[in-house]
Amino acid sequence: MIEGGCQCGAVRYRVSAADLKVYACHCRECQRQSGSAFALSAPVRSADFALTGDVGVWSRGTASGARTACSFCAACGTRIHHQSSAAPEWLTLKPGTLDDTSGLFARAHIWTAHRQPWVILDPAVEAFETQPADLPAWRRRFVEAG
Amino acid sequence: MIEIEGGCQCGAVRYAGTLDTDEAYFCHCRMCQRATGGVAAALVNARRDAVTWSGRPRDLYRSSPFAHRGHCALCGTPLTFEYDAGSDMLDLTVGSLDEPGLVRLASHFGVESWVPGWIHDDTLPHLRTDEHPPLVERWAAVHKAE
Ligand SMILES: [Zn+2]
Ligand SMILES: [Zn+2]
Ligand SMILES: [Zn+2]
Ligand SMILES: [Zn+2]
Repeated sequence: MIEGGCQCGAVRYRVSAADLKVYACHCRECQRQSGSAFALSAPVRSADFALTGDVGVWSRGTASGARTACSFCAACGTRIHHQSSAAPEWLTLKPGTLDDTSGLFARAHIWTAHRQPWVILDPAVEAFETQPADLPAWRRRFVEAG
Repeated sequence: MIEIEGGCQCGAVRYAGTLDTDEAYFCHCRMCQRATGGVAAALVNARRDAVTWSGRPRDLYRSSPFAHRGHCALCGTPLTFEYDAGSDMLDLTVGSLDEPGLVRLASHFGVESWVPGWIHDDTLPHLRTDEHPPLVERWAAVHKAE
């Protein structure tokens, strides 16, 4: 069982999946939202995700016309997951909130055109200068790949 | 001195001021991983009195007996790490800067929970959480008081 939660412990979640596939996004929105140089995303089927606790939701429009709902702990602010109105059957978990982050394996980087120059990437990891043309479809293939 | 401006993803919390240094660091500690949802927070030290806040006041979450973490209550963006006492400095999250490229990576902290594979760097100084006297002394004081 994959489990995690926010900093203060008020929000807890479980993912019913064998493992998580994780990629990094270096876009400015992700830098801002995470406070770091890039953000991590782990696509998860909404049906496989169970959350307890009180979350706040902030949503923003995206270039494609869809809206992304960003959920965070109402008490401590920890961002937990994002969900696009274009693909509500999926959500992207912020996997730094896992109870055990030691196994987070780097599988891809997107929006490396906006990478902070002082972040050095492993050349062996797949990287996109912007993003795959059909991001939701890419996410599905990404999760289903072995 | 470096002139900076920044704020949260939704724009409710804003700040402006100056940095004495362009030396940022990645903190790989577990609390920073949870706070950012990723593998590390990117932080830069600033004098408290050199940063002016505007808009909605940041919310402060008490993340340890001697420190708070500032974030936007409306969107969750992590903004600061702040000791309660004994320091006239605070840390700003680099991702919340309007121009994160004004700073550069100079060191790594909290390397005991570094998740390998995401950030490639062996040349900059690495410090474990238990090697940093300001933190060790504050924890020692907490345990002594118990
Ligand atoms: Zn919380
Ligand atoms: Zn992004
Ligand atoms: Zn905000
Ligand atoms: Zn930390």
